[in-house]
Amino acid sequence: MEQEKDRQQAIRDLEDKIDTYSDLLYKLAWVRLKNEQDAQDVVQETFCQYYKSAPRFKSREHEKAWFIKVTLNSCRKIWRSAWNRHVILMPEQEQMVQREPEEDYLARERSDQVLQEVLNLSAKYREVIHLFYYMQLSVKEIAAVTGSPESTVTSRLTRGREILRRRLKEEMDFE
Amino acid sequence: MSNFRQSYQSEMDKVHSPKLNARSILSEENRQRRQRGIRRKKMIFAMSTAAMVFLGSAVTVTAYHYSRNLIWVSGNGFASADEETAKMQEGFQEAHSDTAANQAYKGENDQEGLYRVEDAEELAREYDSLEEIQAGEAGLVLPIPDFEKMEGYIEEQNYLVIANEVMVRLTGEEKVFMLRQSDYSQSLGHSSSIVYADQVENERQYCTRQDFTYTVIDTVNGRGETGIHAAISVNTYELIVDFYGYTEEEAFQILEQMDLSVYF
Repeated sequence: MEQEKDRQQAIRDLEDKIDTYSDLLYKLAWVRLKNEQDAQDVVQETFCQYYKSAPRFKSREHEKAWFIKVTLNSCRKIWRSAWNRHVILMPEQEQMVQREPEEDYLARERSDQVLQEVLNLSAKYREVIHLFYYMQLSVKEIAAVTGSPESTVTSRLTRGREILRRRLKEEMDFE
Repeated sequence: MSNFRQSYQSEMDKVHSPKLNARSILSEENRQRRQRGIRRKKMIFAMSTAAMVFLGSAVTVTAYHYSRNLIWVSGNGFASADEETAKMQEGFQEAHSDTAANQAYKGENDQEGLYRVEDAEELAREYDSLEEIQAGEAGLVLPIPDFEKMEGYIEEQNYLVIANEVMVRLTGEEKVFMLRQSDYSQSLGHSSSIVYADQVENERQYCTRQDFTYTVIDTVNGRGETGIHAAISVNTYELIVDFYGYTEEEAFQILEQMDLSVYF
């Protein structure tokens, strides 16, 4: 009886974590793997691992970092994308991106190109670009979740920006 | 001037995330399906490079006699083996017909294959520049060409070291240069092959000014794009170089710039 109560509590806790993190982690995995099914599998495995290991966290930040790190590790295990020669737009992307019909055409076109060019980067660059610009992590936090030195993170951010500047038709402020 | 962060966030916010629930995530059937998918991908991607599938096995024994290494065009790519193994090639192929890559496509749980793959992943080291790999790998032997003389702009460099292999990929402006170097000095014998996904044609030889002769083939994909592939065996080293987006003249100029005397 007690065991069943604990199990139900654990499932409620898992559902709470799913509500909090699934969108964030899915988009991270999606950018990293460029595949909808793989991204979904990775995120499900991350939550599965959370349920099985029941880790304790010192803070909300620690918890978030744990989920990001586990997701990235799972992505790496599946996809050694540094050796993926062709950078192709996933066919699923057209259905996945929901457009607002009232949106300004030029603004939409510009944003499309931004996302497309980020996806065209190799995995190591688009990973840090996404963590920095979308998930708003600092260089230090990115270093912690990726296991790379801060200098490597900085140089990959710099290099990623350089490539994007060259490829994007319009000049952009990268802050 | 537009703001990159805002543009990127705006576009990412529109990416649809699937709705997940705890019961589905924890269901045993779903877990097994995910695990099978992940194992299959691990095996394939640990053994694949771009459009190639590398089927290899090396008998690693404390070696003191390494027989001559042979490399030749076979099927849709290159095959190589030490001289003794090459003589028995037909018999060797029959005994090892069910390769790990084939088992990956079957989706079966190949424990031996999994062990080899996971072993390889543990040993893998990745670098972003020539300086980094030279600093990280003591005594590295790598006949890398002079970047400044290479056609086009090198946008990105990737280096991967796994056990006795070094893999290099240099990318930029519609061109990709890839190099795979295998060192069999610690092997008693080996047999390996690389299979290209595209049709192989135009087998020929190219002899450099250093008097090293490469075996060269072309591949052509469905879009009419040509790849040029050169293979050579020097001392205990085997080198396979792939050019995508390069003309033959450009590719051969690069081969000329690769100093293979480093292998002695």
